[in-house]
Amino acid sequence: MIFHSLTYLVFLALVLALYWSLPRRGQNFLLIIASYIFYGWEHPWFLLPLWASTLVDYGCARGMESYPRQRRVFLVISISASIALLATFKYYGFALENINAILANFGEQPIRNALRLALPAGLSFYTFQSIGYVVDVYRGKIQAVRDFPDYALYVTFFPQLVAGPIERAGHMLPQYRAPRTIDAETWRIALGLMFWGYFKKVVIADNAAVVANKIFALTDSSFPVVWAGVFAFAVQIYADFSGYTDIARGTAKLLGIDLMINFNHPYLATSPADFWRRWHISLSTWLRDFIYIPLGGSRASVARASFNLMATFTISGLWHGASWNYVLWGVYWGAMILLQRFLGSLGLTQRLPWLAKVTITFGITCFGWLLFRERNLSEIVHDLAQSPFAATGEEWRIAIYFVALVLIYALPLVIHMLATGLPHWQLEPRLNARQRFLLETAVAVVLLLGIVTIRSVATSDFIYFQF
Amino acid sequence: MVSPDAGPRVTQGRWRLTIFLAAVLLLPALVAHLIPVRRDFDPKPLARLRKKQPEVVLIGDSVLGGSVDPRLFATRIGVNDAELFWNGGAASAAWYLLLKNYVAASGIHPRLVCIFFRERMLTDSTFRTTPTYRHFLESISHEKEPVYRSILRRDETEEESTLGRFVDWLYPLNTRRHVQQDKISRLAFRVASGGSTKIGRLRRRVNETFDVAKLRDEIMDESTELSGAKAEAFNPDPKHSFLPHMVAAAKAAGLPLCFVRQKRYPLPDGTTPQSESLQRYIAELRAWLESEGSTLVDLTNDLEPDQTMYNKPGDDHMRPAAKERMTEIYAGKLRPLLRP
Repeated sequence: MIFHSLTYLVFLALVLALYWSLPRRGQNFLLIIASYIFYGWEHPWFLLPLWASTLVDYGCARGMESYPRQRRVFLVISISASIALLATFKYYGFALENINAILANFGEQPIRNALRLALPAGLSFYTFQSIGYVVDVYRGKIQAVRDFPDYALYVTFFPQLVAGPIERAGHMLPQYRAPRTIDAETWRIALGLMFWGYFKKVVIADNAAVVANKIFALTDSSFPVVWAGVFAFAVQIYADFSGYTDIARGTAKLLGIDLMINFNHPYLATSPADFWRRWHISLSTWLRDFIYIPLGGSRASVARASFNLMATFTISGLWHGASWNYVLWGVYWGAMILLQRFLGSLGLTQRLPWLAKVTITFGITCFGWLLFRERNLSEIVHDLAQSPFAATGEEWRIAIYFVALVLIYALPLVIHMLATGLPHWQLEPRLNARQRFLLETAVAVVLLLGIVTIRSVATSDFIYFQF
Repeated sequence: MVSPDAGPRVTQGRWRLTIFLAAVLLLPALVAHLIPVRRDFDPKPLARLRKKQPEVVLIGDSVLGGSVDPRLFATRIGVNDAELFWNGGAASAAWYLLLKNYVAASGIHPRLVCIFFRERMLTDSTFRTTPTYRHFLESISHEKEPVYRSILRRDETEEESTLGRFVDWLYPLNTRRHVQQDKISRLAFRVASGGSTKIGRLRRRVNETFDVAKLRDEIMDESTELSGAKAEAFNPDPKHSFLPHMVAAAKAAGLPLCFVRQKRYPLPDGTTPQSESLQRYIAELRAWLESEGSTLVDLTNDLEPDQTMYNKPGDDHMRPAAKERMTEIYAGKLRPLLRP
């Protein structure tokens, strides 16, 4: 089921109506059943790997507590099972493609892909969330969940099941165990968040996608047109993913559950490292806690710390997709952060004015999005080979047209970003409760009006569903 | 312990939620209904037809526009005047409206009316009806177009349930957004043109930049633009296709209607590859048209036009230098169909 469908809204209304009439345990059972319906709506078989992951990780965590001496064995079983799921559904085809390419070089026959399995939506999200839980139990940070429904809910909670945020057991489990309440103010805030999410998705992301898809479909485009496409994609992916998160967080709030913030105005970042503190925060912190720090983090020699960073970002790239361009994208970000550290150690970055830092970081981010969006390495090379001096005035005007078009759709987001992301521009602290209410209501009216009148015809799935 | 002002706060919160919901749900619905659904019907072509009284009317998209010189066509086929009705990106919805609202409504008596198409365009009702094209469609439609609106609504509306229809009525998404999107697009063109209102040239350049022939292979393969329409079996269901309505409109007005299948970019030997399903589709289309008293002229299997006459590889448009020859080919094919 997708968030931006009438089916989902009816489903949510029914769930809410039932949910708030049930006691806590009943609420949890309802959420589990609702989550399975939500997830298996179009492809019921998607539930099989989800159930497998839930059962194995629940059992392994329980095993760690029951047999403390075998803790490591249970950890290895659990992580291996998660990796096996990812390998089977996500990386098998990619690995085979590369093996076949090597075989072709030696004139050998390619190996037939016998599996050809579709990737279950959100597999990377819930496997990482499960791994996080098992590792936290192993480290003794949390106790293993005894109550199976609580754990099943932790893995399957439908607002965040398909595209995150990748939550932590320490944050979610106490909420599932406690009685929940909701007041009128929370309803209003939750609905406001959802309106923002829908606006970001169906107005900004889907309209920007039309531009980006058009440009990235061309065999040959000039420098300004390529970069207008990259800009459109930068807007699309941010609006798409943060829109999903807003709808997820709003939905969860309606159920009395708080999900973590996943984005903090990433395009206002002042450095590559700052970007990753603001973009997909739940994944960045997961990678930091479960990969980067266990590898030794930055408390090691420069060479080792650099290796740790590059390894973490390479894994991040591979997490996004089984394709070399994602690996390249991860390596690129690792290299950018290393470069930032190096320039910082020379004292070169500190002196730059804020606007220059934001602009440079946005440029670095856009370059990364080019690697992310182009699936084919030869196309990346072709795009990068375009010279700005070879472009005609008309090509520049075409690019300006596309940038202007995307910016018009994204205008409310830009205003929101400036009004909430810049400390000295923040409007909210200056308003009293009544003024804030009026402003929030006016904003919500504008957003829904936008959804009604300028929603894109070309609706697509959320980009991060494929990961 | 409960704070003494908890009660009033709860009441205030509930009032605010009620006001919030009322404002958010009702205001956009109200405003959306105030947005005009459509551009006014353009009566100019109607007046032109009545004045010119053309003996042949040709209807199609940009491929027709680039293939036929109407004056030369009239001379070669032996009539006083031929009228060309084409619009870049027109397809079955537009052709139905042009036929019904202009050719049939004008009361003229042409000796032949031809609709030029490729592949499955005649039965894919939603092909080229997105907001980019809707602006033109609305300018050639009247306020009440039950067939046009019901077919598009039927094929476009994701939710056919009562609730879906209610939501669509409350928040008219499909019938309003093209108006706003066109305004936004125009604004962006004006920005790119340095504030100038003359945006036609830039708009054309943008369209040329995204010509089908310039798409990557994998996109070309997927593109419905390339084959003309969705690869579905022939289905002349009047609930889903404009084709039977075109035939009915022509019959009602006494117009001799003919459908011309344009030849797509051929192989070096002049042949155009066709899938089995497409051949089956065309055979069924021909049989159905003939049973309805219309004619199908198919250029696909003619070795002329050859590759040299086309704009570029993979493109179905003709190069300007080939327009004269192409006009002669069409005139030769259609001459026998002229009503005495």
